[in-house]
Amino acid sequence: MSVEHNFITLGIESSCDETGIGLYATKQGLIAHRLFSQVNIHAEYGGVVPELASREHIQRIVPLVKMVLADANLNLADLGGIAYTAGPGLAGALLVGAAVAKSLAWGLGINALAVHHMEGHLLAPLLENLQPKMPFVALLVSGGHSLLVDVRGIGCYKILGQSLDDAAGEAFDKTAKILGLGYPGGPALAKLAEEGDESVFKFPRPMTNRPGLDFSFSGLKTFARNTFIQHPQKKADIAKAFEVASIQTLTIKCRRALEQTGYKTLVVAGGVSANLALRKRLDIMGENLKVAVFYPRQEFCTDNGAMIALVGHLRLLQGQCDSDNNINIKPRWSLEELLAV
Amino acid sequence: MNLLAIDTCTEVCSVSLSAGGVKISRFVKDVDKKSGLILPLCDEVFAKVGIGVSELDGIIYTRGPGTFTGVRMCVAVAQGLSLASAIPTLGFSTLEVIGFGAAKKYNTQKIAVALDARMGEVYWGVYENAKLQSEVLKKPNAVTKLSADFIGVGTGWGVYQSELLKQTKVSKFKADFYPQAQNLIELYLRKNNTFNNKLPLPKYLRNNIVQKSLK
Repeated sequence: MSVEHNFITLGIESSCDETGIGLYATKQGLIAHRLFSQVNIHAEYGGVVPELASREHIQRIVPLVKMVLADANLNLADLGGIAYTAGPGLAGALLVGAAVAKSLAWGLGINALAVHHMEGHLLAPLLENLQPKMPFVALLVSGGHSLLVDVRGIGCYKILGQSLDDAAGEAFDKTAKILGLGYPGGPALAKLAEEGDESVFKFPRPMTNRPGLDFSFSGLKTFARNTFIQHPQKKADIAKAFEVASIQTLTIKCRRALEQTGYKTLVVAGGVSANLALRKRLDIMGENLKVAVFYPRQEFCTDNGAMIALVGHLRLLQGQCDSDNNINIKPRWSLEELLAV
Repeated sequence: MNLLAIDTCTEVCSVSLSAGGVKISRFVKDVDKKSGLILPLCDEVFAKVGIGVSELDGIIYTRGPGTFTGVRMCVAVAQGLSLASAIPTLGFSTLEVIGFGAAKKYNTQKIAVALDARMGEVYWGVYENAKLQSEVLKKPNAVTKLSADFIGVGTGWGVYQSELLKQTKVSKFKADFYPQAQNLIELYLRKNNTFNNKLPLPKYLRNNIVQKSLK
């Protein structure tokens, strides 16, 4: 491909409750992106309702694609390829994005590519001007995942550790619900924790007193519930104790992963990476270990189409694309199965 | 007129392409992940007829009811293909295309369509005098009372045979009867319909899908 050619990739994200569309170009990088968040729709049910999520995606994707193209002053004919989230995620939600993406690509006569949602999060810091250099350790923490990954190159991933039960973000949301903070309660819990006293309660740091890089957060959530039953007036102190314990656990595991790999770069991504207390703690650890710590900008910590456009772009440029026109999704898909670029 | 019709709303998947007096159709049944095959089937019919998507005058699709995933697959593909070349579309009820197909096959104007909607209910439509009179989600013992000269079609007649026969007084039925894309094209032409540029959207009939949290 000529270096003069400005290849443009459309990215479609629909793995859970956010409809995200992004456009990434060889010359300009990210040129436009939009998001429709369904948070308010699911809030009244206390969690994501998969069927409602699918019903929203099918109403939102095409209008958002049109808006993003208009934002970038581009036409469909300018697209070089279409990337879509094929997994992991909610099957019904993934299928809507995959079906629109593949039929649009088929109609335009361009390539489509299935993208791994977590690779999107993993590489989201590459959307920033200051980018991490590989190899690095990545901490992916969201409502659906808690992973520590050895990133040797694009597509060369080894999972070093993962949550054996609740994801970190899930534990934040569930604990927030216990404290009556609504859904999604992670950010509300973090805000309440700012008013709490760290010395009032001491929560456990799960799985830190033994070797290994796996996590477990459900016990911490149960500990919060039991503490709340005994001390219903101490919501802020419980929120603080929960947040401190979660963050310290994540920090201990990050330190171990960095020591184990010998890498000098840490990337932190996923919805929980928006938590400012976590960032502060990891920045201090980074300074102590002489490790550079990278985060995506706040809006790219949660699900978005920009990261899917980016990953799709990197892979499409290397000649990777779906091998057939079947509309397939992979609700369960390991990062370790991906092809190297 | 160059017309493409697609359906993935039930247990089957079908496409039909009509152009220059030629109509090529594909129908797939009992295949795993059948609706994911819709684009390869489109590949086949476009290659046979020798035109491209951009040469279409319109896309006809089933917009439900049916399995939620199947309905969305069909509508999403209609959205994608339509968007690619700004092709106008028109959606028909799955019950209407089944009723139309059955009326043609059995040479009658009285068809009772029942699709299994799970959870003890059926998607119910009465197709009479070349028109779908209504489409509703009903318990089998609460559907319209009919007469013995109606013919029942659709998967609901297999699952709720005794309840439907008792309630409707219908005496003959064929449960193994599905929508076909080629009938969508005939339906479109016969009714002198017009395409539109609106976003294709599903019609589920079942909309009470979740209860609000009590907390």
